[in-house]
Amino acid sequence: MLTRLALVCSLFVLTACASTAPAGDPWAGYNRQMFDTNLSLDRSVLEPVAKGYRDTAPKPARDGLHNVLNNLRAPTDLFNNVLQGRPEAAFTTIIRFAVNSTIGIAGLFDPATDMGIPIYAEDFGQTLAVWGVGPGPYTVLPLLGPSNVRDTTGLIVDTFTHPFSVVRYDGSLIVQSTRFGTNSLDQRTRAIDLIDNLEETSVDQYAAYRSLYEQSRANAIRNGAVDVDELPDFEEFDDE
Amino acid sequence: MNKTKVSLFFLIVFSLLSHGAKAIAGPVEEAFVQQQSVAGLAILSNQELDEATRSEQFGTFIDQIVDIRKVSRFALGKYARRLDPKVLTDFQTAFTLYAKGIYQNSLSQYGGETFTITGSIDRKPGDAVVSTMISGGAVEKPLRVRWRVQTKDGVSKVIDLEAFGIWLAVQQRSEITAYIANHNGDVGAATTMLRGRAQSSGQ
Repeated sequence: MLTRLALVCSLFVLTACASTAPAGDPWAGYNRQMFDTNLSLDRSVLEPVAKGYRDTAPKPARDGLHNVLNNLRAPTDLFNNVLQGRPEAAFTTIIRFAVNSTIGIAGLFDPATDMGIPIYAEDFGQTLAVWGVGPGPYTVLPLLGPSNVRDTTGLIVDTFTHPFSVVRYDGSLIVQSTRFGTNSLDQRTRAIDLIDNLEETSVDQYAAYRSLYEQSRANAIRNGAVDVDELPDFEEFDDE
Repeated sequence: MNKTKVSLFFLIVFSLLSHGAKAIAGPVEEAFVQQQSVAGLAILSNQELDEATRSEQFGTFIDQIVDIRKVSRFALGKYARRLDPKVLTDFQTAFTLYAKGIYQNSLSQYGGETFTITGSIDRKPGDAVVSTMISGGAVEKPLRVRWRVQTKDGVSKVIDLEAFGIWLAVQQRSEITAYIANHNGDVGAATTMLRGRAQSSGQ
């Protein structure tokens, strides 16, 4: 526990420093190496497993697993919605969790969505951003993939709010490892087509993943709203 | 640029053409949407066209609604500055073929969607972001897509598209500038690569 806290604190410091640095990819050398390593691991292990899972497990079963994993995220969503000062989203998260945990049979089904109860997925990286912390340098994490200093910090903090991490019991390490594995499998399976297309058509895969990550995170932080002032100018690219 | 992203681009175009959109952007943008709807719908709904003719006409349509010269210069980022005109022209030609190839290869993935304009924001005069919602057809859940449209001298052109928070032109620029940087700033290397991709996609 102390080790994790120390790591979080040090990352907070790094994030604070990095937020004043120019945006970019100062660790590109390391990042590209780690990206290649992750890609090799994905191709040799995760991708074939994910495709096998997709081909053998029926869709309702896969959706059920996805729903359970999503439902278990509710405490994290609640915690971060509260920290971001979004009481309505926090309340909705509680209702959604209650509905899916009961009517939805421990989260296996998602009747809340059918009832029009939206999901407000938030993590501590987003919370830090709402508090004004900059992303810091882009980084590629071993196994976990694209991130930045702020979101890596958030990732660690979020482990404290996940029910499987909070409750201690015999075999908790095995349960947490299983959760990590199934979560990875679920996410990779849902991204099979996207990643296949990306590998087939991208000009520079590393840059493609980086841009996708940075843009999608910025969008999540804005909760899907558009900020026209942040859009790039095109005028300088008019024909001369 | 990946196929999914350009598929989204095509999806927007297709949906626009299929459903005579009710534009609520500025009057210039509204006229732009209405005029192009007629032309685009004629191409996509014409069952008498063979695939090659449809592809050619669709390519012309893309030329009409997208400012692809500006988008291709934007994709070069800092490398667009002080670039030899011939190198720039070669790049723009290759980029255009590459982009059209992906747009057209994505053609068959969609159909039957419903398209609705939900609002617009003026970034500044002649530069607007139009929000749309696409549903039905190949789209499992309603999908919000935003168009960035610039109007100059009374002519409107699409310069970027966004879905899931990803702006297509911004994504293209990230990839292409990274590729050029990895080739010691050689724009010609990117041109060669894009030309090869375009040829492999049948352009």
